[in-house]
This record gives sequence, structure tokens and C-alpha cells, in this order.
Amino acid sequence: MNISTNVGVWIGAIAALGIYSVLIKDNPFYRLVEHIFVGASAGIAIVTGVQTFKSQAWSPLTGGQWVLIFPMLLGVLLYARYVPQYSYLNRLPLSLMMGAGAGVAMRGAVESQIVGQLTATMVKLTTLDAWIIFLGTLLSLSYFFLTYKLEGGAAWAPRLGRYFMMAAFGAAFGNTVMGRVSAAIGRFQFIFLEWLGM
Amino acid sequence: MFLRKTVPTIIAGVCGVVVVVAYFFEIAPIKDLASHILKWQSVIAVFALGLGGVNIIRLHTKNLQRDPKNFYSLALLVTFVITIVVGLAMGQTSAAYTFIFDYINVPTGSAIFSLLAFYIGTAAYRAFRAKNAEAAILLITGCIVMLGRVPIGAKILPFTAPATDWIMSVLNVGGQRGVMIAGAIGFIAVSLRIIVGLERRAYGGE
Amino acid sequence: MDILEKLQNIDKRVFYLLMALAIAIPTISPLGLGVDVTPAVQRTFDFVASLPDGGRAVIGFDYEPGDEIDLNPQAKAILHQLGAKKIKVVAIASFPAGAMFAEQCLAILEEYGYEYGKDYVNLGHYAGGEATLAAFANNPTAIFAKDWRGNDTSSLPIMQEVKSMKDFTMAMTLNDGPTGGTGTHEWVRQAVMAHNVPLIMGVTGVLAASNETYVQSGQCKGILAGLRAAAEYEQLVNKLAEGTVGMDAQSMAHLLIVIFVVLGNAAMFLSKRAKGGAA
Repeated sequence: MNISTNVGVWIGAIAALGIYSVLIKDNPFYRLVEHIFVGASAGIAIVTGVQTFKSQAWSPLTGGQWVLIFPMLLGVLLYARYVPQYSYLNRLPLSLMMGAGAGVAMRGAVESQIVGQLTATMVKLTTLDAWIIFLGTLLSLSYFFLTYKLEGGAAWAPRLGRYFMMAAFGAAFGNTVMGRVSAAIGRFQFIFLEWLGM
Repeated sequence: MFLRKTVPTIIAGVCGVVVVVAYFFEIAPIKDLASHILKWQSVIAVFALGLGGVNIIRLHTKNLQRDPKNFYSLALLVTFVITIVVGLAMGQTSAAYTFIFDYINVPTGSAIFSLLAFYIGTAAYRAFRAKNAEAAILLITGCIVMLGRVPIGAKILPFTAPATDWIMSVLNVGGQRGVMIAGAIGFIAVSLRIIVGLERRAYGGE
Repeated sequence: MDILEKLQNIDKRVFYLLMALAIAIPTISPLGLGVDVTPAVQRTFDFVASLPDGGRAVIGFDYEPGDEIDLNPQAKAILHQLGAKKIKVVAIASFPAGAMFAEQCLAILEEYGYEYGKDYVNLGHYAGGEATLAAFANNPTAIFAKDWRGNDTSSLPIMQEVKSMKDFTMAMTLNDGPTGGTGTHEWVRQAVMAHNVPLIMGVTGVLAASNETYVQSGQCKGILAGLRAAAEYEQLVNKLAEGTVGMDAQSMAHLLIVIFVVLGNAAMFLSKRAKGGAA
């Protein structure tokens, strides 16, 4: 064992142990570390925000794009929410962001998430896998026919669709476990290898 | 009324329509206008980054006013201020700022998220019971993928590795694609409602 | 309470302890189980290998602390491959922490003789998610006037070569989800659909299943899912690192969860049968 002499490693390891202590019972040490994390994260977001402000807004403005003064004023209006009598003014910048955001997302979603996906499904069904993907897509889509209920002989379609979706969610769950476990592995490596030097 | 309702609706509508039209048609002035709109929204978005910080300061200073012995809020605010001072005064590439990121932010953040490894395991143990066909399918595919994704799975049950590849690229695609298409249709409907002014709640309207 | 009922209701703290041991023991003394390369990772590697040497890649570091254990090793492994191919790299980040992770990972490129500003650049964080990514795709320097280190981007040789997303030979997003940043759907829309730039994804395990549809449809050229994919990629580029080290612990933790699930179900069935028999 070759315990680290790096102060940072000690702080990081003790913080991680503080977080893990909640697995035994909620306790003040856990809550303290949790609050410190939120404080540091918010601080990092602000520092990065200042840098982003310089890069995305201030530098272009001082470089001659004076028109950017208008979106900057609109940006300031976001803070009108803290002044009750003028809080409605924050709707102006928000409406621009929401309108532009909705437009950008919508124009691509038609192509990527509908046309692209349907094109990949409507292929020559020469293999069993192609048939499974085709039927799986069709049946799971039938589950979302919410305007009318498929009844009688057609009721099997959404039921089979649900089975396909359950298989997909099972796969998603298996992968989710992998993701969460690897986060714990990262911390354990830090504690045992980097801190304790085992 | 005009500033509260009409102007935001017009702004959202014009911005949305211009951005969509610029994508599908080669009209130079519209393309130009769309790129200005996107630039403007990026500048406004920068200001939105500060809202989180303001909310945190308001909440925790109120906590401290109510109870000056609230050690947690004090610790949060002290860490918040130190991080900002170090970041702004010494720079983001400075050793002190990197220290805060590497040894406070990352270890605690990772440890918090990794708690889910423990919770998700017990949740699987308690909830994954094959009580009906749907639950059985979920359980079986979940277990195969869990084993197939790690080296020991291939050692104990060799079929799990190819089965996982097949589940991911065939069975999973069938189910996920239906969800994706249905989700996209809903998403487009909401976007359209925002653009034509039927969904004013998105920007604080009613 | 009989044994079958007990097996269905084991105290969660017992599970926590076993889980901690399942991760800790292989971390301290590795089992050396080895990792086989799966078709998904091989496909991604082959795609990058097929790109012409000396091209340009844009990489989105779209993740926060908590997911860096999955995505940092993926980033480092793929940067080794890009470095060997002399592909220039432009890094952007939709999360504040992403820019810091980018700075750490990009250091690898210096092993391959890369020069900052000429062969690679960390542009830092951008606010505004997908709409800003769309603006970046139209004109990168209009969004990033300064890079992460504070240099004017217009003065950097690498940025003088990039006028739009079309100037990149590939795009990659290292992604842990859309909340607060730019998600994988957004990258498909803005890189692939709008500018026809081939995209690969490095994602956390959580996002693997939902993004597989893009691989099957050809909209995404390859996907790396979680630490396992990082371990496989490390083998392919012959740089064993964090990903490979973690695989033994990953194995034992998964095995433990599956054993518990099987145990719970077996106890439930046996208990039902016993009750049925008694009735």
C-alpha cells in the first residue's frame, strides 16, 4: 500500500466516502459534501458562463457587431422575473429562444426521426432480422394510436407492440446498469488505487 | 396585454417560421435573417446561464436569514464564492481552478451519480419479478444484456455475448424505433404549437 | 418468515455491502478476464480508420461529472486513433464541465506532435443547445470568438480552415443526455441531416439502446456504449487504460445483480408453488 500524499486526492477521497456514507444512513457529513458539490458546480457554471459571454457575445460586440447590443438587452430582460411588476418582460427573450429552438428542432426531426427511420424500416424484407425490425416498428407504433382504441381482432397489435417495447426497455435497463456501475468503478478506482495506492 | 401576449407570440412565430423556411428553401435574405436569429438566441442563452446562480444565491441566503446556523447553506455559498473568485481572478486554466474541478467537483459529482449503481441493483432485485409476460420479457432481455455486456458473461454463458448484439441491433431497434417515431410526432406537434402561438406557457405566457 | 420469503426480501444494506465488495475486490486484485471486441465497436473503429489521413473532426464533449468514467476513456481512446491519422480536432462543449474534460483529454494529441491552434483547439463551452449548434454549423467563429484558453479564434490556423460544419470529415459527440446540453438527436439533426457530415457517438450505457436505431438506419456510423466500449477501443488502438482496468469490477457487479434477480424470481416461483401445493 502506497497512500497518496496529494492533498487533492485526500479531499476527493474523503468527499467520495462522505457521499457513500448515505448508503448506511442519511447523515450530516453526506449533506455537507452534497452542498459543497452544488456550490462548486454552480460556481464552475458561472465562471464558464463568463467565459462563454466573452466568446459568444462581448468579443463579437466589441469587434464591431454592435447590433448584438439588442440580444444582450433581451438577455438582461431574463432577470425581469425577479422584479414582480416587470416579470412579464422576460417573455420577450424567452419567446425568441423558444421560437428559434422549436424551429431548429422541428425542421430536423422530420428528416432524422421520422423519414430517416421509416426509410430504414421499409427495406427489402429478405432476412428474418429485417422482418423483426419492420414488425417491431409497426406494432410498437400501433401502441401509440391514442385517438381510437384498437379492439377485437386488432387488439393484438398494440399488445405485441408492448412486448417489443418491453424487450427494448430491458435492453435499455441492462445498459443503464452498466453505466451506473461504471460510475461506481471510477470512484472505487480513485479510492483504492489513487488514494490508498493498493 | 400587447407586451405580455401579442409581442411574444409574434416573436416566437416569426423566429420559428424563418428558421424552418431557411432550412428548406435557398432564399438568401431569409437564410441571412435565420442566421441572425440563431446568433441572437445564442447571445440570450448566455445570459440564461446566470439564472441558476441567482436562484441558488436567493434560496440559500434566505435559508441563512431564517436560520443563521444553517451550516449546509453556508458551506454551499462559501464554495460557490470561492470557485467564482478563483475562476475569474486566476483563470480557468490555473492550477487552483483545476484543483477545485479535479478534486472537489468531479469526485463528489461522480460519487453522487454512482450511488445509482447501488440503488439500481436493489431496484432490479425487488422489481424484476416475472409476474406476467411483459415483466418476463423485460427481465430476460435485461439479464441477457447485463451479462452479455461484460467479459464474465461470455465465460459463464457464451450465448449472452452474441445474444446481446442481436438484442441491441434487432429486437431493441424494433421497439425503440416505434417509440422514437411516436415521440418525434409529439415533439413536432408541440414545436408547431409554440410557433403558431398555441403553446404560450413555453415562454411564460398563459 | 420462511426462507423463500426471506430470499425475496433481503435487506438492501446486505446488497450494498456485496456490491461494494464486488467492485472493490477486482479493483484491488484484477481477475484478468480479458475483453473481446464486439461488432459495434469494431464498426466504429473501422469507420474512423477509413477516413482520409489529415482530415478534420469536430468533437462535442457533452457530459458532466458522473459520466466521465464512461466518456473520458472513450474520448482518449478515439483521440489516439485520430492522432495516429493526423486528423485535426476541434472540441466544443455544451456543458460547462465538458470544456474542462476536453482540455484533459486533448492533451493526448501532443504525443502525436500536435500543435495547439494549428492541429487542435478547445473552443470551450457554448450556451443555447441545439440552436447554437446549428449556428456553429453555419459559421463556427461567429459563435466562438475566443477559444477556451482566451485566444482569438480568427487568429488560429485551424479555425481559418473551418468555415462551416461541411469542412469536417467527421463529427463525434461524447454524450450523457440532452438535459442542459446538446443531446444525440440534436447532433444527428444538425451534423448529419443539415450538413451531411458522418457522425459517430460515444454514449453512456443509459443512452445506448435508444441510439442504436440511428446506427441501424445509417444516420450514425458507429456507437461506443459505456466503459466496455472504451475498453474494447483501447485494445483496438493498443493503449490499455482506465476502460480495461474497470472491466473485471464491471463483470462482478453485473453478475451480482443477475444472481440477485434470479434468486428473487426463483424464491417467488417456489413460494407460489409451495402455497399452491398447500392449498
